[in-house]
Amino acid sequence: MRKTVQMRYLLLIPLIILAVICCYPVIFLATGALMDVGELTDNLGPVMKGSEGFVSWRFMPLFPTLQNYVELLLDSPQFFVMFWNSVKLTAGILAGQLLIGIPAAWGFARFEFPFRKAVYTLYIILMMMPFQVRMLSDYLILDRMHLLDSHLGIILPAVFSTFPVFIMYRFFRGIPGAIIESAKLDGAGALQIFLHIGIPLGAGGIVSAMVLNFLEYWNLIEQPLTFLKDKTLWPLSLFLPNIGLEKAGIAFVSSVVTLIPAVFVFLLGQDYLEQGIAAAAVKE
Amino acid sequence: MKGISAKRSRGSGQCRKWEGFLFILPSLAGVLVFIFIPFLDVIRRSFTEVMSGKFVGLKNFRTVFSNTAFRQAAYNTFRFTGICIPMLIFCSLAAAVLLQGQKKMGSILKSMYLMPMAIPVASVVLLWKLLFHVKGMLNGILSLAGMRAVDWMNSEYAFGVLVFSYIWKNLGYDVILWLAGLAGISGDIYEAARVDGAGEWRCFISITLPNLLPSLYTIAVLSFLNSFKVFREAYLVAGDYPHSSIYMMQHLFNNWFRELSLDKMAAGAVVNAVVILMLVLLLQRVWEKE
Amino acid sequence: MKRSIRGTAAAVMAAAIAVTGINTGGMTAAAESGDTAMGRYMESEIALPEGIQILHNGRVLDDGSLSILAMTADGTSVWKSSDNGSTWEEAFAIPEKYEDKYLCSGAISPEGTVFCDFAKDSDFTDDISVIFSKDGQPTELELEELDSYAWQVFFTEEEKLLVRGVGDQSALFDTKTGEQICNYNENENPVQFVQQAGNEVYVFGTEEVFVYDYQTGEEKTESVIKKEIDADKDNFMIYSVASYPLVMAKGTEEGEVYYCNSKGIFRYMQGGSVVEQLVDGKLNSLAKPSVSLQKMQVTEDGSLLVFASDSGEFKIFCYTYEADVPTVPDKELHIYSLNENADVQQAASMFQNQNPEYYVNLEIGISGEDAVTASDALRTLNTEIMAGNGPDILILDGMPVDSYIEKGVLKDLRDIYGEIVQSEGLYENIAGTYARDESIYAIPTRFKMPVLQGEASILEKITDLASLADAAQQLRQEDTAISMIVSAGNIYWFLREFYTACSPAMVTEDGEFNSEAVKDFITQIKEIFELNQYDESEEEYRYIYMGSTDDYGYDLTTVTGSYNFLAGQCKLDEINLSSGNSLGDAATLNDQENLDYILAPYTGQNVFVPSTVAGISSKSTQTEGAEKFVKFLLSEVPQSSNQGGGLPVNKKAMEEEIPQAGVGLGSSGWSTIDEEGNRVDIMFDTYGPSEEEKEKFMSMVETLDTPSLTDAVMEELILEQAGKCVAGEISVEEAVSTINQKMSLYLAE
Repeated sequence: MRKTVQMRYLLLIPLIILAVICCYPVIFLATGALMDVGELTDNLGPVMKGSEGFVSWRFMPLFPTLQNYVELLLDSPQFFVMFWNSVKLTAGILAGQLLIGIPAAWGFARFEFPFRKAVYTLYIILMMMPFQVRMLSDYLILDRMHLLDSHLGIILPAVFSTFPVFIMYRFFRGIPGAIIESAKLDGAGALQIFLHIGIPLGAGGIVSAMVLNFLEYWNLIEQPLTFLKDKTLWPLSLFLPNIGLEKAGIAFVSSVVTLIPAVFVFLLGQDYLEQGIAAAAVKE
Repeated sequence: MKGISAKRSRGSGQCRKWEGFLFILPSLAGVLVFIFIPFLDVIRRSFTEVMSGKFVGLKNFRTVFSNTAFRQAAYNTFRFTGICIPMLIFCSLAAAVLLQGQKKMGSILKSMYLMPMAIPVASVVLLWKLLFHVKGMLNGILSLAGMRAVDWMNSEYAFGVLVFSYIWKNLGYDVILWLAGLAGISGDIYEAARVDGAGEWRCFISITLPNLLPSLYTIAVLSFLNSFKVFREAYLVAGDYPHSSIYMMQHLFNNWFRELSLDKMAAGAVVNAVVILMLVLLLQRVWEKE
Repeated sequence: MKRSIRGTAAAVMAAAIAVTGINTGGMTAAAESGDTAMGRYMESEIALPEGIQILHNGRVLDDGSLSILAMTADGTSVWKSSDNGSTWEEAFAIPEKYEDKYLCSGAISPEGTVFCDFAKDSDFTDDISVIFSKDGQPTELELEELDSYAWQVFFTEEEKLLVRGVGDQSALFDTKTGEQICNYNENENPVQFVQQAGNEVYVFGTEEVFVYDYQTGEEKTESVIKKEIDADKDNFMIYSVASYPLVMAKGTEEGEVYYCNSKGIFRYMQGGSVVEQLVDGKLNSLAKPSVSLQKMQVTEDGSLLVFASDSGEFKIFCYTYEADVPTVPDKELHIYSLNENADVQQAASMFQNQNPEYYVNLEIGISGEDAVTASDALRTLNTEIMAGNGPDILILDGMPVDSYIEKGVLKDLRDIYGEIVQSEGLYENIAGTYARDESIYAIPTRFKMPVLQGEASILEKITDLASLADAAQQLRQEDTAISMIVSAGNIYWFLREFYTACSPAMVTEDGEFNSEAVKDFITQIKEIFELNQYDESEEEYRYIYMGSTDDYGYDLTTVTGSYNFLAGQCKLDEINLSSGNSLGDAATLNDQENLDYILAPYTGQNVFVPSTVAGISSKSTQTEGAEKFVKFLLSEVPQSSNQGGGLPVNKKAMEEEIPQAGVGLGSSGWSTIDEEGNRVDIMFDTYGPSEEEKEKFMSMVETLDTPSLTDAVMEELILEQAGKCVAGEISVEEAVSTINQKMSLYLAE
């Protein structure tokens, strides 16, 4: 669509306001991480302790300090254990989902077989079940399989989540049939078509699914809480304790530190996402 | 695999089926074990007593339907979904459309919109506590402007806070998906339309929107799914018994579980699932373009 | 351009992650026991001579004999045993010259030389240090530059003495000349206590331990064992004089260090990266709340000796490795309690000792250290119960007891109950609270009694909350200067004190929620609290209405108001009597200040608070063990060992619980500044209650008939809003309407 130059700049304004609203919390966390206990007490007292007045905030801390970072990164060994647990869990789950989910999405998207629609609909319904409801039943299954209190007990059920299948299905569906037909005429088998055409063209969808899922599992709370008794196995998402004022600084810092990998994945993923979409569009 | 399909490439219908099946087999197996069977267990529990496992027919369902807490939660959940999803879809589409032309800024802005999703839930909760508390920052700003403080989380406004939280968090991703969808519409069609004399608005209605329908389906389902996730924030900020306007199904399930009322919980879950099933079927029928 | 930025970012990220991986050193390995689960350190006791009142110090000498410095009724002497405690003989007595002086500290060297530090006079300003040779010849010693008396002493080498003085001073002295060889803690961190093991001196600050080289006094900043010790804040909690949360000793090999705390005994080898747990405190006396540690020593043959006191009785525990005992007993008795409960822990440890074939595993639902809430813990518990992995015994405080009973989660304890009633006698008005028809599914094993203390003339007029508020108003009009009318620590505890006493009124006879009663409660309490006058400086902590982590899980509603009464700062005080000692406090106060107390009169009924409520899971597979434990919980011995959870329901134990009339229970002292800026010292010596007071108390107990409401959800809902209201953040109407709204949701579920 054509726009005049002025219009373009005008339209930018609401977009920028939106962006600020979105990013404000991150700035908030970052500045909070640099404040020392005294300043945090002053600022957050009204909510945390019931002091008079309202919570106030400055964008530049009066007395910036790296105290909180030091305390978290150097003095809390359990933070790192939990960090690695999160990495282990998330990586394991994503790898598994790629292995299992991609072929499944491909299968649903490009093949006709009996009950395909029914099974796919089932997938969607199962995707919508809130955890509270499944909690006991999941526990019983994991118990029977002796997977409780182990990372595998969290990874395995998550690997079979139907959510990535759903996302990737759409993208695989969007691949034009012409390409596949011509590949078949060239004598390519189902597996080859999958590996050499499906995956590259569906890359946008795959990356989307992985990026979204990364967040989901990086922030997983209910499953580790219920299925992992041993605290040394807990992931980072369970680190933030009930935040008292003494811990407010730590809370901010751990938020920032937990945030960084996620942002990182996002930024990386965005690039590939755009690539994948562009590729799909061109092939048209 | 390769050999077989090369030989049987004449009878295309038959082999295609089985190959497809093989592709989904590992996933299906896992889903059956880890997701479907627990689901069946839940259905079973909705028909039995908690500790003894005795079959009680529809008793649990009757209890659940006549339960006022359930009704309140159901009402709230419908209300929330019914307001949030259209709002989110509309806002994200608008933002996407506006973003389309912006090359440089667009990229940066997109990244910024994604930020909220990256923030860990516990941190978001901390922020919301600080912002929306009776003595929080929002009230602080209001008092500076001479207005009265509002107890955001403990009044009807709690609903608004939750809606805001939901949209704030999910806007970014939906914008990306819309943009992906918009990018998929070839520019040629627009050229052709413009040659015919169509204006901006006309283009939008007749070309853009129809071509976005597949994306709309995905986004709608995703948004619906994410509307359940908002429970986590509500729970961490307001506890087991929040203001009645944000008391959702999951709160109820949570509490029933705590009291060991597993029979009611299972029945409620089954009702939930049935409603969702109907919605999904409806969506599928409407979007039946494939 | 973008690509390379992303690339660099990726590289930096990867590097950062790699670096963090290095920082995970020093984790504790689980008990080593080889491939099979065999081998365990078994506990035994080394007998001490009869009549020991105080064990100052002790040691196994180089020649293998045991030497102790102890005080009996006849005075302080050094005792020796060459047969490991079977027989003792007095080596020498402290000579008359020092007999009447207070012995601040003492230590024994590996060869048997004894060091003692006496206070010159009752002021403790000056001290006399004496070295006694093996046969008791004294030589006085002047310790150079030691400003105070020796608080802790370590005599691990013949010629050298490690002394920690009052304040932050610790130094090594030469025993011949008294010269300081070197000192520790140059950087002057505040010191709580000091330990020495092998070549290191460990100075325990308030939150971390500092390690110094024994010979030179240099600080060692990198230390695996330091990391391990710092990680557990229980290692820094001192509860009493001359006992420590953690004691250390050197091992038999060069560079081997052991330490012992309530969690067990741990071993570290210098140069290693892992601290090993050898002994699990839960399987023996170490985890008992009544046990406090004094000192540890590792003997040549590898036995681990721990000098400790158990409820005031001194003991030497000896842990020796037995290879053919299973590491963990195979029958597990799983006890679950939502919150920390010292009485249950005490009973569990006692039971464990008496029944070594069971592994008594006490699980606590909420540690307070992490994000787990009560609801989360309950959900997890429910999951486990339903899956058959649940506990055998449940301590039901904070749990939905009625719901559990309805759903058949608990077993009928009718038989056990009957047995104990027969054999020892229980207060059935309390223990039988949960009796339904012919069955009893839960038994409160302890209880607290809410009483209101003040002048008898005032108490007469109080018959409900409204009359309390009126009486308080009047008192305020009469005395405008006194700071508090009804004693209050802060809003949080004030509300909780009164809630326990008033809650029965909040539910009608038919079990319906009584909103009016709640409104009345909040209105009156707010009025009463507002009559208190606080300085601006106090407002900050008086107006706290949320629970804080500083409370260490203590129930502050049981603290008597002695200080406030004595300092003339209050007229009335509401407390939950929970032990013989607090009864003694209250009774002494009655006596001294001409006060009296009555059962909390706010509901027209005689209210008590059931606590440490025990139940057995209907899905338990260890029914025999579980029943045995519950019976044990109700039996005399653990019931008479009060760790703060409440008064015993066992009648025999109650007799023992109440101190004898006139017996000194201890003194408390406080210093304040009065209006003119002068320092005022208040001393309060408490005694056992007189016969009269005891009679009165016992008969009050018999009249108790109404349990306080134990619904934790309702309590939280009400008190959260009540707190905000009393603090002035919301009005009474707003509080009540919010409560009503939330309660209606809760009740509707």
